[in-house]
Amino acid sequence: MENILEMRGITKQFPGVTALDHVDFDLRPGEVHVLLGENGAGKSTLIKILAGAYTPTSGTIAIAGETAVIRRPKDALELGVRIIYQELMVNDYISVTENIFQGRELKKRGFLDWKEMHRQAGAFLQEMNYELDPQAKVGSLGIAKKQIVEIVKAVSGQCRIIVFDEPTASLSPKEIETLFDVIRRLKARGIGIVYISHRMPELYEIGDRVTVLRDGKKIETREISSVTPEDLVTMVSGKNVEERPKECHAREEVVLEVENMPTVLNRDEGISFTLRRGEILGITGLVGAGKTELARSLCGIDNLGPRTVTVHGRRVPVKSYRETVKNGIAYLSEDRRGEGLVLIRSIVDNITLPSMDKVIKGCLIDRKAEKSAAGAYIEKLRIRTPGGHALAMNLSGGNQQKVVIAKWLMRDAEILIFDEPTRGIDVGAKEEIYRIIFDLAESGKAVIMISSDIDEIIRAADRIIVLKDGRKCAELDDVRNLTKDTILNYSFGVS
Amino acid sequence: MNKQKDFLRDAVLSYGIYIAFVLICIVFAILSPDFFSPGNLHNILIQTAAIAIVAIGQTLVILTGGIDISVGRLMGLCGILIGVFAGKGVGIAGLAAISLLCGLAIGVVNGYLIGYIRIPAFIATLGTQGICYGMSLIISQGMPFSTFPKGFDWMGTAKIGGISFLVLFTVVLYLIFWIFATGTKTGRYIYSIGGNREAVRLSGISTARYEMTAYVICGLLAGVGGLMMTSRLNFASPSAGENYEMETIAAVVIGGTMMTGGSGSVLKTSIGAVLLYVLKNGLTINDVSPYYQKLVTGAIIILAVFLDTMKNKKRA
Repeated sequence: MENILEMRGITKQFPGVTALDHVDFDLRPGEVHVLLGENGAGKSTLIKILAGAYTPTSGTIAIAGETAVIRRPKDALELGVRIIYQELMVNDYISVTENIFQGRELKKRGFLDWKEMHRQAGAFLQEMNYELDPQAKVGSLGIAKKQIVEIVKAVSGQCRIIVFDEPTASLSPKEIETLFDVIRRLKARGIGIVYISHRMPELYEIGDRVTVLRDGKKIETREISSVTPEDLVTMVSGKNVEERPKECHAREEVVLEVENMPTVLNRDEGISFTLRRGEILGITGLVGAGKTELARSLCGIDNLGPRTVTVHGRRVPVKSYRETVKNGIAYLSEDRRGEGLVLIRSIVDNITLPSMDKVIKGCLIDRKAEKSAAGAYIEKLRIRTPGGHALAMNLSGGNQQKVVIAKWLMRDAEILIFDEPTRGIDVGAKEEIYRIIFDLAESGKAVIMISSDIDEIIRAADRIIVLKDGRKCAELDDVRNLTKDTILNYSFGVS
Repeated sequence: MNKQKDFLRDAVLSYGIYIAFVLICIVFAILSPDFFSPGNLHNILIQTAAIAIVAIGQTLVILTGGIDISVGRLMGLCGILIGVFAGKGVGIAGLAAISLLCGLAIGVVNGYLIGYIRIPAFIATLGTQGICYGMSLIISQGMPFSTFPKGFDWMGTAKIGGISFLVLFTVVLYLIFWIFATGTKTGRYIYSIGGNREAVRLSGISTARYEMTAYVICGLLAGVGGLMMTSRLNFASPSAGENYEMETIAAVVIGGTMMTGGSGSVLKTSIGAVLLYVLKNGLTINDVSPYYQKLVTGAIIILAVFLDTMKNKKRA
């Protein structure tokens, strides 16, 4: 049968990074084609190109045999491409019908024809074998029903290709069954389906073929029934990197004990671990495993009721992030631009922000002292800038990360929690950030490194905790003999 | 050639509002020889003073990314309280204290609602604006006050070395708060909160506390402004202060402070305030109807923000 989608030689380059390197991908009508790969392997870039959010550097796309030019999201919509993102795009404040018909409302004598729209919406839902009142406000529905509304909205117009991005991440087993039922009906209508998920068992249940991406390259496309989960994990991970693990500088002294720390994902069953001086503790897991949530909970950024941590042997309540900072703990957010830096202020201002008391003389800021204190960090961490007065917004990702690190070094933080420390940073600068983190550990700081980049975790961490669905599913001490597959197996829940 | 063009463009965008200011002054001077007389210029500054004082507070608030639309009616309420207590025989120092306390109290309410409860600034201060106006009407029963202790009008009308005390006082306040905004910890936090609230919070700083501080200072300065306004006019009416919040906001914006917060300057606000009153004065002495004055003022505000937006676009 003719392919409904053919992407040929898709390459996408960002400054300093090749996100996709000559990737081919095709889709048959009525097929569920699974797209598999680690975080950063290029899945979302490929989907964004299909959706018109990015334009490829090179490569061609054909839809139903015709060359398609997709420059804007509107082009993709007109060609019948729909994406169901993990973050649903439904409008909570209007009804199911209004959501389904948003942007192409039916009219009769110049007025909106609600009767007909409700009727058609009902028919669409029935076609999916799904019971839902078309007049219900979407905000009153659960997440699974919202998803169905979004799917119906997608297929009610002219639709040939649907991409599901982690559609089952927040669904219960029963809701997943219903979703799969809907997907099977879409298949029967000849719609091509791209399915992104990390959950092995469901890939086998719903998928027909699978394409594995790694480091922006296509590894293989196979019939899913002809590969074992173990093979898939190996394809996803590739050869183990021949990096000699760094020297471990962990000392005896325990600086942080976390016991039964609840997270937004899992309020009942908390996560426990300890951290020693000079140690780099890696925390990894797939997207949605609860890594960031764990950090935000133990730092008091998310409010989850009374809980404690033990810092340097002293049990302290987790009240607010301000208290956490006073206890010598710092959280370096994965979202540097949104949460780490005041972009429209200077580098000096950003570095001294948490430590103003150190540069205050009387009641005024001692500009000279401030400049030289910040300047020392600019030099020590090699922040490349024309000067401390330059705005944080004009720095590269790597240098922005260094400014954030400088902030917390100046604040004398003893325990540093790095959340995805090298996300969005180009290869050369990554090495520099690792070097800085290693030096910090060697100098006696304790580091928690949260990362979904498994190579990075294996390379940098002395000990690794793997999270899955908000729970700790493994704690691995012997990093030297660890392979990437082991961690991926834990992450995917393949035993 | 191109470089020259770029330079010219940059200059127009960066100093456009000052260029406009100078041009406007020249036009007024040509149209009316009285405009540039020392007496008239002095007069403009005296008229500007009360608004200019309150605009300092408004600048701090807008730097945090907020807005305070209660200040105009708050100034009016301060005047009414001064009138009431003057009638009860309270002395000048007491009246001044009452005005300042009233401003402070409303500032605390605004700051608490916005900083801690996280009510949007526009809504919170719209509420307190109504409360202030309502209280003015209730207390005064709609009647103005014109009896004040002897010497009460000193603050508003006295001259020191030929220059109005009110103007000198305003200049001193500007210098103090300029140093406050750029040279103290609190000032730095106020700028940073407007730049990125979450980043400040995740630096271990209580954003609520410093946001509140901005509103408290703004309220307090509205109390000062209300006192000065009442003293200068020797008259307090419940309708006084109407629309003054808009004038303070206009002064801040014309001065180049970004409505989104994080960037701007207290000192430049003084220029915005003076420009606003130069316009009013120039149009008045040239016999332009007050109706047109509003129109021109509106156009100047848009011009100021337009230039700023173009400048930022270019930077991005």
